[in-house]
Amino acid sequence: MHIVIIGFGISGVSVAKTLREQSNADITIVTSESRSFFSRPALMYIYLGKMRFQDILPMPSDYWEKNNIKVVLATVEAIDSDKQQVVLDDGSVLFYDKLVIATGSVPRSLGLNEGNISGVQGFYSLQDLLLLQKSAKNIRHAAIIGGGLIGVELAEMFLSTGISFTFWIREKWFGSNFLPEEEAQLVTNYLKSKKIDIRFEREITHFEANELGQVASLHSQIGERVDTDYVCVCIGVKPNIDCLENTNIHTNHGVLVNACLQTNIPSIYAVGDCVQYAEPSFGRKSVETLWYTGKRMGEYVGRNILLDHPQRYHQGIFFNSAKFFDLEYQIYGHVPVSPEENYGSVFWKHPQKDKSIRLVYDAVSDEFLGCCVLGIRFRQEVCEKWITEKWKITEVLPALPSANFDSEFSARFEMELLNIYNNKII
Amino acid sequence: MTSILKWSQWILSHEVKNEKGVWFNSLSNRGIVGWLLALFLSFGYITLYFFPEWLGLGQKGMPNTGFIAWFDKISIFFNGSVASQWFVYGFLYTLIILLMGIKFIIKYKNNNYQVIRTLSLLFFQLCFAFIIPEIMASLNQPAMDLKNMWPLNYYFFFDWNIKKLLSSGYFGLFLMFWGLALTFIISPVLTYFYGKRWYCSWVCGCGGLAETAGDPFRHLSDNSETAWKWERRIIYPILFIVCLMTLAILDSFFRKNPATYWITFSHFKIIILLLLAGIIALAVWNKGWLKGMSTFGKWAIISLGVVLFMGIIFSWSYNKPVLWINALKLREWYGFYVGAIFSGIIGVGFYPLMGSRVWCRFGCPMAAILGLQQRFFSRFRITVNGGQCISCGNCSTYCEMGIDVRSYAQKGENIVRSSCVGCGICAEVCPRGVLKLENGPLFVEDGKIKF
Repeated sequence: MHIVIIGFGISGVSVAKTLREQSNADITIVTSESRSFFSRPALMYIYLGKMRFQDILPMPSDYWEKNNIKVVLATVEAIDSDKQQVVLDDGSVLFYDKLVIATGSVPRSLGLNEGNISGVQGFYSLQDLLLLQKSAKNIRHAAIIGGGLIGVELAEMFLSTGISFTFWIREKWFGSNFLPEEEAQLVTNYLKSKKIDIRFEREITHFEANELGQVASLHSQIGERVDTDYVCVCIGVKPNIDCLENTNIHTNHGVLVNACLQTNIPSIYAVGDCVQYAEPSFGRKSVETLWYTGKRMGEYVGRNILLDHPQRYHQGIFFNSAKFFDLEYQIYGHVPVSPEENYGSVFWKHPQKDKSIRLVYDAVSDEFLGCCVLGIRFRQEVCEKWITEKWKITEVLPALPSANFDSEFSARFEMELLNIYNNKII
Repeated sequence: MTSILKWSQWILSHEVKNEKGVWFNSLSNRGIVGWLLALFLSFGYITLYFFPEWLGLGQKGMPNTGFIAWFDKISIFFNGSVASQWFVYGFLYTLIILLMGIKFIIKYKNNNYQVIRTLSLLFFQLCFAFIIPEIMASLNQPAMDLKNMWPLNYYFFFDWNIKKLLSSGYFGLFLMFWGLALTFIISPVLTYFYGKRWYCSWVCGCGGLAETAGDPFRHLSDNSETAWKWERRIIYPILFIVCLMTLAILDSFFRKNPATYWITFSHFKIIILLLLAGIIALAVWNKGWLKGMSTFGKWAIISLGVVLFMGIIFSWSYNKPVLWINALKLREWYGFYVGAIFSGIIGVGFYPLMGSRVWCRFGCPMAAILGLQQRFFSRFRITVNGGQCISCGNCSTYCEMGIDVRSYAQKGENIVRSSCVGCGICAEVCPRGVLKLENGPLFVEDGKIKF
């Protein structure tokens, strides 16, 4: 039995690791990025000088050899699902019994022909990091386009190395496309306190290049023109499915899979960012480009790929976390971005510090649906228990201390939330 | 009072850069500056320990000159006599902990655990290690660091210390009982409830220096599995030798004074044999203790225990020193190699090369005992928040004890490791808030503590 995995990110690695725990099957991983498996979210720490490349490797470098997992550094040229083979750019051919597509995602483009202008890049791969490190010395003024997590990471990186930059954001507040308004305002004010030049409600209309083909300035839709010799575009990612173009694997936005993460060809599976899931549960997207989703999918496929009767994949309770500079953010379950009639929400914000808690519940049944916190840590197991067991908000509020995951001696705010809720219903 | 408050608010209004750039800085990435500092510190320790006259210590009753003489007035203020090299050492040690401790507090001012923990370290260093012993000395009483316990304080059971304590009236007797209680009652109880952190990163002087002055070097601790292997290969033999040395010295003490005190030589013999038999029985009975060891290792340990037991009985029945050990030689050897070279020159001098906890990790017999207890009989652990680890490696990089925290966190496994001193920095640097230090109920199963 030979299992070939295309992609050496967290999804592909989770497949290989989980599979190896239960089987001696031959496993080959094909990657074009790096022979070492590194933690992608940690690339920024190399730039910051907090860690070296060897520090962001989640497993010891001899793990692959020890566990008999072959890692091939090559690009996939073609997939022939009839002959069950993968053709690589070095001309070699890999025959497989099962194939796992874990190609991840690629940065979205602005569609302004920026691929042909030098000095415009994304910040996503190891290659992007090396390029940025090389360019950093000569940057006079940079631009970060896109108000997402990678944008904030870049802002932190530029700030730490003293590179002047402008942060261009399409939305009215930072994060208003994934945070409720109060939280988005809180994060926005926090970022402003870092003395960053942030411009909201801006869309970049075009770039100007100099005679060498390097970016020289950019223009926004309200007629601004800013001299910029370096641009990072980070307006989100999309599934990386280019290598599947001439195959008979069905794709739309991503690789289409069924409830067992199988593509239309039963011997081919797909996991992680490149997946478009057929049956997303309530409140979930069909394309979910998250580390946690990739890891969960990978572990599921690793456990089930060799079974004759695989179980269905369960998405589990949604969760995510992030950090904007030093401000931590966590979300569990369903927290709508804009207020909706049938949802109730208890929101508390610290009067001085950058901390907030929001609990969301169903206005009719009082069932607890989810929560998001800023500057405070909640315990995942507890939040998941409340959501799956359909606790009422009136049961959750008194139990709130059990969800706290802040370090010892931290100030506690459970009583404030209880008071806010009580005042609300009176 | 208000001025103190204002002053501390002014101090806290400053910012100290966090870990950014540590791998670019020649001081903290084992660059030239780091090596120079390591040389300077090691050389400083060598001079202080073996050639204090180079620093100006007065020989044969002559007055101090040069560097040591600068501290004469301060020493006279505290204890009435001119400075010794140990006074200078203690004074500078305390000063550095205070200054770097304030820097540490500013750096982590948003984390109450770090602030309170560091204040505790500063308090114990300033009062227990420095001021109180000076006061004791100035009152012509035996001076003792009340928080320094056997086996870190390896001379507690030395004959001269016992004689000194027992000849100093009720105060000496109090110190004797306090020392015994610290080792055998207070420390096990606190470690059961809070883990070894109550000592290693809240109270201990070596820990105090490592946590404050050593903080810029914490990422230099090797977190490979090989390093972990060597850690176990070195620290447990040192613990073993310290026990052996103490046994030999007490043996020679009782040999000279078989029935002077209310514990006689024969009492002593019975206590030691019972203790050893108890440990062997526990190791055989409690399988968890030797778990993870090879079959050979298990048998080697148990046979070593039996051989020791028999050896002690034989040496005593032939009326020879216990196990035929030359107590004086062993004491000299330990004091030189472990007391001076390991804990001083390497322990502190190598901060910029091997991280801040070389001694605590590879050498300290106290850490070894507390660690064994933490691993098998303590409620302390680091819990992992569900599946939120992104395997970034900040925790492993910034663990001063070289624990590969990430290898547990990414599996969602709680961390129960004997070497963890509970400094809490892994939880602080984690970008996803995945880790939390906790004292939960005691229930160990397959190495994982469950609720």
